[in-house]
Amino acid sequence: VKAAVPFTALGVVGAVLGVWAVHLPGWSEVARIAMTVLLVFVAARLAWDVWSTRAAPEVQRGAS
Amino acid sequence: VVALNTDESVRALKGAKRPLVPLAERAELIAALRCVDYVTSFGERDLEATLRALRPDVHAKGTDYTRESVPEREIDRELGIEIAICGDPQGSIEHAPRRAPRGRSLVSEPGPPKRYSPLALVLWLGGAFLGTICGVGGGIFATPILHYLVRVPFQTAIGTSLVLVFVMTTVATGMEATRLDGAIDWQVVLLLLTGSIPGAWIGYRVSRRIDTRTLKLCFIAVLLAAAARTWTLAVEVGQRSDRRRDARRGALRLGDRARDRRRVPRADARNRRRHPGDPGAVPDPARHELPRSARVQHGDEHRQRRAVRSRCTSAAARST
Repeated sequence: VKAAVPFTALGVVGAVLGVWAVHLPGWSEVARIAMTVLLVFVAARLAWDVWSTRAAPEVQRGAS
Repeated sequence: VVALNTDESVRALKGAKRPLVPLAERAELIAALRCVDYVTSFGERDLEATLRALRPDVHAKGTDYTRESVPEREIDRELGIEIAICGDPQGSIEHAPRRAPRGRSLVSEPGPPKRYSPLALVLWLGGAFLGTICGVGGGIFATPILHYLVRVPFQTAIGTSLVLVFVMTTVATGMEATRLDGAIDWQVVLLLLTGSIPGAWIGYRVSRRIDTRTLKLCFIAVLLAAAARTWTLAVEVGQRSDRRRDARRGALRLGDRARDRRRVPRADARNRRRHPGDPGAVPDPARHELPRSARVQHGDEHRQRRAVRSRCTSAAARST
């Protein structure tokens, strides 16, 4: 909850700016391109995470 | 009943850098399982003292052991305790740091949460802005930001992002609805709500049941699909605006030519009336090839051309 408070406030600011900008000509096109780049970047980061933490074939003995 | 090694005994078994998760947190995690009634800990190298104290019917070990390799097998035999090897084949978290590049942790669930990360806040502001402009909300950005930068577990990041998106989309929807040029199709909203309510409910139930790895794979699929659609939309809109611009330019040119066709005969007639028999009185053909927009843009050139033409006309009149 503590982490969510500043994010919520900034999310509201971003939303207000977004609603204002979406009615200005040209912003939507630029935003779509930026969005595509960011989505691919985030997908790549997650894919790297999934690939790198795949189950190891070896086993380990030791503590619980 | 689950018995966990104390931090000291883990350190003695696995080295100074272990355990990765302290005993209190391991105990909390295990105690949260519905099938667990009691969690205890032991500081010895094996479980002999605990087994003698508890005397259970079954001593369960993971698949990293066999019945023959369980360290307490002699005590189990002595006390008449059955040994059970249970669970899926075990992987080892030991292998993750070995594959990790320097300075990076590749452990699936990140370390202790960072409550205030300026980079995360700035990125989230940009994500909320972009999400609102593109009409997709901000969850696509909130989840990875919370997971990787604020370091909350993936499922907590999903839950927290739902709250963030709810608040920001409520504000954005209110603003859009109250604008004079607001663009909300309420009929479509009502139509799609019938599907989105059960969809959200099913999604929530499923997200609580599937593991983090599968959740991440689903998230990647959604992100790539959204990226592909956003890109095609951007290309379509770009092509449409290009066509519109070309059409506008074409209309201007056509309009100019029509205007020029109407004006030129009048200008010719006027010049011929003023300067009868003067060939220089015929307007400069280059002027009519130049579109009006270009004339506006290159007004100086146009004025110079007119001045030259008038000088030529005067000279021709004088020579006549």
